[in-house]
Amino acid sequence: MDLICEMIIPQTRTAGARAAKVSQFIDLLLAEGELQPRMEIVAGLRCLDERSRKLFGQDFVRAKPTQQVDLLTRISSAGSFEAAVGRLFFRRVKSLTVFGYHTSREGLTEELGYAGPSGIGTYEGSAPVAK
Amino acid sequence: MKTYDAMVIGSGMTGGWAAKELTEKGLEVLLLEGGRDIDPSVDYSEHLAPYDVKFRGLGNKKFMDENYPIQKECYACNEYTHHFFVNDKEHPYTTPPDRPFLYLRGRQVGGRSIMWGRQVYRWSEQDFTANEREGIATPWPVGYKDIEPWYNYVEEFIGVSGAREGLEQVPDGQFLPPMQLTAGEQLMREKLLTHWRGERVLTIGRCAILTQNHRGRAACHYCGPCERGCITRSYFSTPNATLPAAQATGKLTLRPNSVVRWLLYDPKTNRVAGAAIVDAVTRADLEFRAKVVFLCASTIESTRVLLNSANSRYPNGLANSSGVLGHYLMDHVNGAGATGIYEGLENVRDIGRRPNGIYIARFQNVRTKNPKYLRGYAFQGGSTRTGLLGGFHLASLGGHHPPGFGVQFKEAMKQLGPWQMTLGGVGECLPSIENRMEINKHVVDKWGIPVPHITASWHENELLMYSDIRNSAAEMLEACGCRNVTVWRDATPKPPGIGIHEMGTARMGNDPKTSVLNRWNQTHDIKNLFITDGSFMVSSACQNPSLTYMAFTARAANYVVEQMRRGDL
Repeated sequence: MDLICEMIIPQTRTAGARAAKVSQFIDLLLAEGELQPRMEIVAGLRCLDERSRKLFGQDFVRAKPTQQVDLLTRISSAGSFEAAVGRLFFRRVKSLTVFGYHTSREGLTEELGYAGPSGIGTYEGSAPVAK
Repeated sequence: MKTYDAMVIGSGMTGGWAAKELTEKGLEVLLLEGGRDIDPSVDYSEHLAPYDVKFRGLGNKKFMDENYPIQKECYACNEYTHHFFVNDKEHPYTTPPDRPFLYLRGRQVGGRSIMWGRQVYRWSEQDFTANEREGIATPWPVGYKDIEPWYNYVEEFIGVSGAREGLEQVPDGQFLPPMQLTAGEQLMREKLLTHWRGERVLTIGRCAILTQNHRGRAACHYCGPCERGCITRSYFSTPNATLPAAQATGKLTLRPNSVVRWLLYDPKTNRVAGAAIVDAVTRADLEFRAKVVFLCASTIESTRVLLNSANSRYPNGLANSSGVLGHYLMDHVNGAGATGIYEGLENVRDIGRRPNGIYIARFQNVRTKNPKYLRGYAFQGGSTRTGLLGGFHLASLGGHHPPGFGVQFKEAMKQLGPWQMTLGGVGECLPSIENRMEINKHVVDKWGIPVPHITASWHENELLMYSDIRNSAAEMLEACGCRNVTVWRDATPKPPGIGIHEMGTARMGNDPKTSVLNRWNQTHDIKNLFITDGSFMVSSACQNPSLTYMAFTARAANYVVEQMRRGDL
C-alpha cells in the first residue's frame, strides 16, 4: 500500500504520500473506521501481485520501478485488461490516498498552502488569481 | 425550600434569552438544563485541523452508527462535534413504522444554539396574516408591528451581519456590515435581477456572526466551521452571549444535569409551583419551586413535559384543556436544490473561509399567486471556485479527481477548477392537525421518563413545493449561465425533522378552545406558565425561525415582569 500511495502522490519539492504517512492512515481507516472497503482492497492487492507475477515474474513490490508504473498505468487506463479487474480497486485506493494526503499536516500546509485551522483572519470576497 | 421568582426550563436559544431578560429585570431565576455543563476551552473544536482528530473528520463509522444513527443525519454532527448531539441510545422516541421522523438535537448548557446554522431572518406582515387570509389553521394573535420592536431589540444584542434590501417579504433589520459576496455570487445576483426584473433578489446571508466587535464580543476571524463552537464568542449562542449576561446580574442559578420529569401543580390556585427533576448524575429525585415557569426546552421536549404532567384537572396534559397540545407539528422542507458549473471569471478566486452563504428571498406567492400551492420558499447556497488551493475545500472520499497518478497528477490537483453555483431551498410547511406528538407510555428513556411518540409526514402542499424547488433551482442556475446543472438526487424530501426547525405543538391564539397559548406566550389555562420555544408557532413561514423565537421570548419576559409589578401574576 505504501508503495502504491507514494506512486500516486510522489515526493517532489513537497512531501509525498510516504512522508505524509498516508498508508498508515488508510490502515487505521480499514481497521477501525470505514469497514466496507477492506475486502475490496485486500482482494485488489492480491490481484495486483498475481498480475505482476504473470507479467514480470515478481510480486508487485519486487518488480522494477518501470514495471510498477507500467502495471499501475494499465490498471488506471480505461479499456485495458487490468482495468477490467482492478479499476474499482485503483479508484478506491486513489481516493483514500488523496483524502489521506490532503488531510495530513504535510499535504495541507506544504502542498495546498493551508493557513492553519484558525485561518487567515479576514474575509474579503474574491481577488485576482496570482500568476 | 427556596422559591425562585422564575424558573426557566432549557438553556438553548430561548432559555438563554428568558434567563437574561428575567434576571436583568431583577428576578431571581433558576435555569434548569437537562444536559451537562460545557467548558468552551475543552468542548469547542473549531480550531482543530483534520490531522488533529483520529479519523480526519470522517469519524469512527461503527461508533457513530451505534450511538448516533439518527443524529449523524445532521450535516453538523461529525467527529468534531458529536459530543454536542444526544446519544440516540439514551434518548429514544418512537414513530409509526411507516412514518419516520428525524429528531435532531443536543442536550447541554446552550442546547442547539451551539451548533445552529446562525441564519436569522425577520418574518413579514404577510407571514403573520397568511393563515387568516387563506383560512388555514387559526390566525396569529400577533402581527408584525407587535414583534418589530422585539426584533430590533434582539438583533441589537446578538449582532446580525447583513445587507439592507428593502424587501417586503424579509424586512431589513439592525445590521452590522455585510460579509462580501464572492465574484460568482455577485454575478448570480445581477443575472437573477435582470432575468426576473427585480422579483428574485440574491443577498448575502443574514447571520448572527459579528463582522465587527460588538458588545464585548470579538469580530469573526473566519476560521470556518462555526458548528464546532467559537472561543472568541463571535457568533451568537447561549454560552457565548445570553448566559454570561444573565450570570453578570448575580441573580441566576444555573443547574445543569436537571432532567425535568413533570411540573408541580397546585390545584387550589390553578398555578404551577415548580418542577420535579431527576439529577442526571446522582439519579436523585428533587423538586424546585418558582412563582413563574418558562418552558424553553424545545418544541417536542416542552410538550412532552406538559403531557407527562397530566393530572385530574388536566387529564390530557397540563394546560391542555383545548386538546390542541401536541398537534400541528411543523418543520421546514429542505433537501431540494441544484448545482451547476459556471465557465468564466477565470481570473478571480475567493479567498478565505466565510461561514455564511447567500439568500434568495422568497418569490412564490409574494406578488403573484402560484397556481399549485400556498406559501413559498427561500434559497440558500453560494458560489465558490472549485479546487483545493487554500486547503479549506478539502477532498472528500469519493470526490472527483484528475486522471492518472504520479507527478503530473499531483500538479493537476493543484489547479483551480471552474466556479460552482449551488442553490438549496427551504420551504414553508403548513400546520396540520394530523402531524402530532403524544406520549408513548410503554417506552421510557434512561431516566425512566415516558418518551414522545411522533406522527408526522409531509402533505401535498409541501410535496408540490419540493418538486417546484427542484425545478426552479435548475431554472435559475441556467439563467445565471451555468452548464452541467444537476438537480439534487432525492426526488422526494427526507422525513420531517430534517429541517431541524420543529415547531408548533402548543400554538398561540385568541381562542382558548383552539390554542394553548395567548398572545403573550402565556398558557390560557394556567397564568404563571409560559412557553417561548418553537412550540408557540401558528404557522412556519420559510424563514429560519430562531430570531422569531428569541423576539417572542424577550417580549414574553417583559410582559411577565410588568404583570408581576402590577401584582397580576
